[in-house]
Amino acid sequence: MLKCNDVASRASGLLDGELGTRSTLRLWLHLAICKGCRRFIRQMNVTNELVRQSGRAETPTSIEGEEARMDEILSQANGGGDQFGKP
Amino acid sequence: MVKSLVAGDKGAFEKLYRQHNQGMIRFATVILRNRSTAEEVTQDTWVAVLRNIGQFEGRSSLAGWIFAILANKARTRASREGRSLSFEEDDDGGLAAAFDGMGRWKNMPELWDEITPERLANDRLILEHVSRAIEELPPAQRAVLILRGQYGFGSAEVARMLEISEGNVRVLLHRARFALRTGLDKLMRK
Ligand SMILES: [Zn+2]
Repeated sequence: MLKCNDVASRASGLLDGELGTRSTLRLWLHLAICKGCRRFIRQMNVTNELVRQSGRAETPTSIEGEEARMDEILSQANGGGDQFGKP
Repeated sequence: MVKSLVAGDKGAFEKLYRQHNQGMIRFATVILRNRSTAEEVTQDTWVAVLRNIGQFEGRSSLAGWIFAILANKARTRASREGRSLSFEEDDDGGLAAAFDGMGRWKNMPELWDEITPERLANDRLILEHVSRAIEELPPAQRAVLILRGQYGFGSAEVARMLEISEGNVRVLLHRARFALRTGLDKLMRK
């Protein structure tokens, strides 16, 4: 029988679908009898979702100087030519 | 999107830039440990992206291709400055300390009833807490968390970007998530 710390160390593997059938079954067996680990898996799930959301939250609509920077990138990329992407 | 970029569509570039520029700077800052150098390297990356967009073959996502170029440039710049992604400050994310000698939880995990996935998007305070907690992670964990957890790139892709093993990517990702969940659990107990 897995212990709680074994479950904790395999939680990412479970949530990312990277565990084999056998390991997954052993994990579910433990979860069936352990409330703490059931809560923990749920917490990890929520944590992953929060991490995803926090990445999205930081995309700003407009920042001072961004326009100028974009123009600079475009003119550097053009390097005299009239179309970027063309050699 | 790629076709518009190859054709030189400025609007397509602006859209891509707004979507990724901040994330790119955040990631490069982890590798370079310096925000203004990270901004420079990110700008160079955009120039390289536009010049070479014709060579993008779609074997990875466009974002994956852009971040691979960025990671490469950031690592090159960092090593030129005698720096590399630091694993020295790495820790186990509090995994060992969370359990007693029998492998049982020292603190029973809480039920986080207050945060359901539907409420997350509106909960500024919790998201701000998470963003701050991510900034405080050891650099290697933070790098992996941004690429795997926020951008959703695959383990193999991230391993190539950071020049570490896939096993290492998994360990770092798990430590980072565990540390964040422990911080949130403390927050919920208050
Ligand atoms: Zn348990």
